[in-house]
Amino acid sequence: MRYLDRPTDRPHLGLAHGPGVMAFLQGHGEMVDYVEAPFEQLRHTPELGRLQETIPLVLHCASLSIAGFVPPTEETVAAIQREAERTRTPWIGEHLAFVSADGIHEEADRDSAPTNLTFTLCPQLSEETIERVAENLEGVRGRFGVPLILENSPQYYPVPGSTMGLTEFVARVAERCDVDLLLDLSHLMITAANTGTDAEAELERLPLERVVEMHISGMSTEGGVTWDDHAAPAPEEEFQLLRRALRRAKPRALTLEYNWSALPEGVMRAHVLKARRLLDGQ
Amino acid sequence: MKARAVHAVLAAGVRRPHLIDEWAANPETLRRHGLAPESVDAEALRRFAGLTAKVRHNGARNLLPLSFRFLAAAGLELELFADYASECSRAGREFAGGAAERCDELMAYIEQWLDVSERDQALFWDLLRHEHAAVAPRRDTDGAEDAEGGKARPEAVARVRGELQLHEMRSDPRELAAAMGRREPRWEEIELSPHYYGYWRAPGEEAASLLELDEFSFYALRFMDGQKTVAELHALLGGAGAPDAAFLGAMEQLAGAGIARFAR
Repeated sequence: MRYLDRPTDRPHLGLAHGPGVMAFLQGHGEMVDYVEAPFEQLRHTPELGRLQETIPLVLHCASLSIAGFVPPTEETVAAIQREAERTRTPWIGEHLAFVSADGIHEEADRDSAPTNLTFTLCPQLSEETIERVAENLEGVRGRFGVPLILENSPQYYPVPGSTMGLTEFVARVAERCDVDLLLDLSHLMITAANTGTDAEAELERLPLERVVEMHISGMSTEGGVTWDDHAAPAPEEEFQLLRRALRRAKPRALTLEYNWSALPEGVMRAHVLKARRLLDGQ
Repeated sequence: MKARAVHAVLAAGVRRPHLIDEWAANPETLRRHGLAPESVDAEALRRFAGLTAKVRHNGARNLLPLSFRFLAAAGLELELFADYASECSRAGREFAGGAAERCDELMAYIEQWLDVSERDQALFWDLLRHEHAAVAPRRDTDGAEDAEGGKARPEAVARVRGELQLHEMRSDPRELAAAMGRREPRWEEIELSPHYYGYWRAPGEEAASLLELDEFSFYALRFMDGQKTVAELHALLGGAGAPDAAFLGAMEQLAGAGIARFAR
């Protein structure tokens, strides 16, 4: 088994697990330091864990519902703990979002089972949620032998009852909870486009010194809204934003999240090389 | 508005997107759940539900990459998946377990969702069927249709050898497939005109061959069900009296290409 457990001066470069990754590793394995593996895939497709015989894994997670009001089951937390120990991931990236919520019923006075999703949702951006994140983190972070880092969500629509923007929310959570960050540059750009703000200005308002890992992926626009799109290559503007972020941020890793479909091998290679050059300060 | 209530409503909308349509039709329902109706961007939430449905079809995307690329390039992707997610939710139906099954169910929905009088959607339907026919798995057969030979006599029963999918299209889908392979896909120049195709797997072959057919062969093959005789096919295709030499010759050509066989 291979592990990403030795600190280095040079940031690591990885790929999110998805179609095309195995083929890319076979041809260009030396260009990539790790594969970011979703806990949910490891849980339901344990054979994915064998990938670690050839390359280290970093654990990514979308199950803790860290900004939510319905906690994950003990079984889920224990399974994440087991995967963290087995993979020896240096940290666990989790979304600053929710995947479970109270159920609703057409008749409001009737109880319903919780709603569980397979996709994370941007939470209400409010003091109430910040306090909830603090409580949730308090409850789970001691369970893992490695740090939990939180990823900024993409925002597609105004979340009712929000009292602040996403950048302020992320910064406030980081400070209140003393938690480090996974900065998804695509999510940052998407949020800026959908809320009429400037991505570079928002970037500067983030506590970049807390960024441990970064994500790069694509985006697309439909119906006047910009959407996350891991089947599209990142635009040049995103690499420019990465260059700007790296003036202050000293991430330990950068992951290319091209995991919804297999991008052409030439595009993958070009983007890996471009990201590597930027990480190396070129 | 309490965060807990907001999360409950947003999650319910994404999990059961038909509720978003109901909230849009009856905004006071949202108030009962603790939200101001005007605070919910129903259209964006609906498309977000479509995004989550789209992501759950990544397996289908890998089977049909060009069709998905067209959907994105034509700006139809989230509109389609939002409608599909809402329809499934309304019917209380979960997505199928495997990628191929998900693909088949999506195809069935798309067929009734599309408005093929719209040029882009007509092109898309051609491309989708073209791509799907190439990746559809082989059916298990008893080998009865695999045998060769036979003479195209009027009383002989005609049947297709191997597996054949027939599609009448409005374009040559290979042109759109080629356009989707380009960095900046454009398809305005593609001409619309009737095309007839067969996607044929010869007995024992894994890969499907594309047959460009004329209208006569297309319908002749469509009517070959392993029960009708050559004479019955002739009548169905508008022939009067007994099949003439030209008709029998055309049948023989299909047999010569290995696509059809004739038996008493």
